[in-house]
Amino acid sequence: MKHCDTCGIQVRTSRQTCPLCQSALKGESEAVFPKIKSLYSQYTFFFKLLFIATAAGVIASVAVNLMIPQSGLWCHFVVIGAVCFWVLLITAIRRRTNIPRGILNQVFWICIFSGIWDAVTLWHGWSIDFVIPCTCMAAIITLGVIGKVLRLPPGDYIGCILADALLGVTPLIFYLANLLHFIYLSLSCVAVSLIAIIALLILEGDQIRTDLARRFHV
Amino acid sequence: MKQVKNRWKKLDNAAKIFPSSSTLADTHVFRFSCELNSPVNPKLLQQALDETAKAFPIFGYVLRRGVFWYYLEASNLKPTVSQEHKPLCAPLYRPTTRTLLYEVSYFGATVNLEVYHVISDGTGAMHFLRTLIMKYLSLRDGLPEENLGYETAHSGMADDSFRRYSRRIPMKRRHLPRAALLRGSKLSENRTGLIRGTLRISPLLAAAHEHNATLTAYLSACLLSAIGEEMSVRARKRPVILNIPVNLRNYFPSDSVRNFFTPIYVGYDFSRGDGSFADILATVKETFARELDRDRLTAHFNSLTAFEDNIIARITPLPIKDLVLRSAYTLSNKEYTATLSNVGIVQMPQAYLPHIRAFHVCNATNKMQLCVCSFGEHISLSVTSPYLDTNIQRRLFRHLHELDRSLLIETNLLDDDA
Ligand SMILES: [Zn+2]
Repeated sequence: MKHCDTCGIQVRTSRQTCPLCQSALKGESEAVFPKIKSLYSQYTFFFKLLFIATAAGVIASVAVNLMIPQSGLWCHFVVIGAVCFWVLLITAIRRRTNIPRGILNQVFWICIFSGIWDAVTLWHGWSIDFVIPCTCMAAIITLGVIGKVLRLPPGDYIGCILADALLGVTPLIFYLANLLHFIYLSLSCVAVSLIAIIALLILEGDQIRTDLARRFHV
Repeated sequence: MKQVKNRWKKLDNAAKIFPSSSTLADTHVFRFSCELNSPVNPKLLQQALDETAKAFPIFGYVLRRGVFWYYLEASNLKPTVSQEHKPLCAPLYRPTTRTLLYEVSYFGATVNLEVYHVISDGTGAMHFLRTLIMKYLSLRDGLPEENLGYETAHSGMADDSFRRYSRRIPMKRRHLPRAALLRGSKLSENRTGLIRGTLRISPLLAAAHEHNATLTAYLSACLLSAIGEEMSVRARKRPVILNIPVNLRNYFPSDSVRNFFTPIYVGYDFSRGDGSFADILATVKETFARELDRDRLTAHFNSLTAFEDNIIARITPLPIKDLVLRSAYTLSNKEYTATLSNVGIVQMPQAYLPHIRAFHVCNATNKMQLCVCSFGEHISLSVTSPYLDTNIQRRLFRHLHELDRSLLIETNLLDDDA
């Protein structure tokens, strides 16, 4: 027990000074609360450095591109690349404890980013021909396997498979709009997605209904 | 297992505001501590916690985002006991991870229970901690388990009592003046500073009775006067207002461990009154007598149920609701200077009393908050505050020290925080 002569009050602490009046305490030290280390871990510092590095890279390449315009316009690739990198990294970190939801979010961003890359590199259609159908199909299968192997509770991954399967039907739009050069992957993806949707509705109908009921309750 | 996963609950009325307005600086997490007479055995505590968690199913729920509202979903996550390693009342809810909304930690001889306000209020959390301590001591010393005076595994335990007692009472919207606000530099990393005083309850009760006041009224006057004295002349132009949560279980019978409280506001205008303790206490007593009335209290929580029943509010998507509720919360924060909550007397069975030294309660907040509970012959007053400055605490505790010379101060503030 310590004692503050100024306040005349007893203080149980490991402090040197009185918490009320800051004058020196006398007596035996006793810790009532632990000393808590700083919240900002080394990881936060690492990500700050990484962010500064990407920002510096982006700014420098824009500046260099402007200095030597005869090299053509290329700095927007760096900008888009940096944005893609950070969005995917942040999604992965934020959802690291919820694997199905993490996969779903990654699939969504990969589809969007591949479309953007394809568009800024003279549109060869590789995004809708290959990347989008492959990613969606792979994700549906991976989610099903992970759910079963890790024995996740159905509420945790059924909704994600369903959302992914709905995303997997979109190549049908590209097919009908005649945008595809290579139709096999897209049509397989649509087929796999439709089969997944039907199977889920029949096998996990109750699960999906309660899932929707709680997510959409007003 | 499958059935457990599919159970879910709407948030109760008071809890609706918390997820939207929780920030790193205002986590809506509160802590109950129990100080035992010997260091905690983590293994036994874990065992006691496993049993307690089974008796309080609502504590196993996690918070999820829906399209229109947040909701609670049953989980099969298991709570684990850990040595205290996080700042006082650090955030428990993170939107992207599924975690339990409470945590049990220990340090030395103290057991801490931290609870996110969404699942429970002080009464519910206190039931949980009392059960946990009883089970721990009965495992450690073979004491018989006793009934703690409420029904566990009761269907009413997870009730939304607001719904049950809500009824239309015509009442004018309260118009609160803007309150004087505390200012100053804050602790780093949004930490909460705690200064806690423990003293014998009898001199305090004697002083309150001498003024014909209840304990809560007397303490409100102490806090109002301490704040008023420390305020700058400029800040004193506005009234100092305390937000005092009232436990509605005292007015409406309810066994729910979920939220069931509503705040009343007690203020004193230092620019008008003479600022003497007697005058402050007289004003406080008058306000208490007026506000603590079944009909007035019902009217208070009705304005909340009205929001819930409004169809436009209900179909607004959650991200927009978040913004609206957050700004409503920010605005309502300007209506009071500090909070005082009195959890009341903590009861434990006779056989357990010799093994327990004290119970404490405190709350994380972006304001100053005084949390009070009493156990046996002692009363514990915890002042939490985000500010570095401790002048108000000094004034308050020096005043209480005059009532009882055995007052003991404890704090989580470090020397280099000053
Ligand atoms: Zn002192």
